[in-house]
Amino acid sequence: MKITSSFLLVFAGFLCLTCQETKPKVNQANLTHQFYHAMSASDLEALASLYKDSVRVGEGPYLNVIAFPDYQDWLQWDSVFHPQYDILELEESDSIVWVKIAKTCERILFLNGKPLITREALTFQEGKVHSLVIQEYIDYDQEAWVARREKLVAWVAKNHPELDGFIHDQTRQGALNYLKAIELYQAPDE
Amino acid sequence: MNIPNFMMVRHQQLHTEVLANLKNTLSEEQLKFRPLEGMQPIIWLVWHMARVEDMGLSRFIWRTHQLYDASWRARMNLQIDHYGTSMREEEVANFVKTVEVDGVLAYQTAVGQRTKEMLEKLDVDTLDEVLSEEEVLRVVRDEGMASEDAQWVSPHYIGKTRGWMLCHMGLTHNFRHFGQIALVRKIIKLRENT
Repeated sequence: MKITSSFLLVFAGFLCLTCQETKPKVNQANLTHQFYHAMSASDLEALASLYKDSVRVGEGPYLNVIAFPDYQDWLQWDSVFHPQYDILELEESDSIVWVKIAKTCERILFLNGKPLITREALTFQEGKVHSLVIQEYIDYDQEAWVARREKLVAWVAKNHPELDGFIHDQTRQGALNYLKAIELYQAPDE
Repeated sequence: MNIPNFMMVRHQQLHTEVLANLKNTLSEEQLKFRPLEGMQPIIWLVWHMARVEDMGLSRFIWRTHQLYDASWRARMNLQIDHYGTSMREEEVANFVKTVEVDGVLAYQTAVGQRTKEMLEKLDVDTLDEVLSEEEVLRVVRDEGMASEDAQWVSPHYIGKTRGWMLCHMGLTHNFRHFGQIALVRKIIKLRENT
């Protein structure tokens, strides 16, 4: 009886260890692909299922923690420009996935003249994305970006005052006005 | 002017000014005052600045143990061993309830003094070394520099040089929060005058 109990205890312990060892490791690379696919689709529901609890976006020493309802506003704004996120490089380490991302959309093509390329890191906890950290802007023409934006804003204020203020309006309507402003600005003179 | 002297010009001024002003002009109640939910009180900011400077510089620059130990933990009456980044509302509220103000101010003085001493012995040739992912994760995650909520800082540190960390954790991080302290002080004074 005593031997049987001891055996059962050892066996139970072995089972526990086995369970721990066979716990499936989260496929972080796969989650990363799903994440940027959801970003391209501006799919809040998919992003909410991928993030651990809130949206955490870090840049420099700052981290923005954004609740999903608030993030929805930004996603709707971004979606109007038809964003496309392409993973150019992916490197997976212990608990971080490093990616080189090319983001292109109508706004970025106008301001940057080419896709915006960044080096980003995704950190993971409990099988979910914990945070997205933008580590470096690799291809970002800041001088041209600022100059084009200022010229656009000044041109709209003078020629289409009904769209004035679009640059600070991060709502869906603000984005539609932004696109309209670009379209009018780039239209050939009549 | 060499690098340690360059650092000390502003570092020592900051520590002296912060301490002198805090001890002489604000009560304990004011040091613990939170102007709004989500805004940290001055005593939390002082603690956080000192913890970042102590743990960050000790582990990444001096490469020795941090000054903080069980006796400082007891003096400050805190159960927190990480450096405070991304602390939640309820954690900050609990911090305010339990913290020993004099312990935090003494800790900050000690950290500032230690930085001064270590800067005098700094081997500036190490400042170009780049921090590897392995080293950053060992300190930030495994040694508990950052809480679980603050693990996002690792990608921010990986690939930076020790010189960058010295400047960030010894100066710019402190000055950023010193600005917040100045703002909270202003709010406290404005409330007194209304």
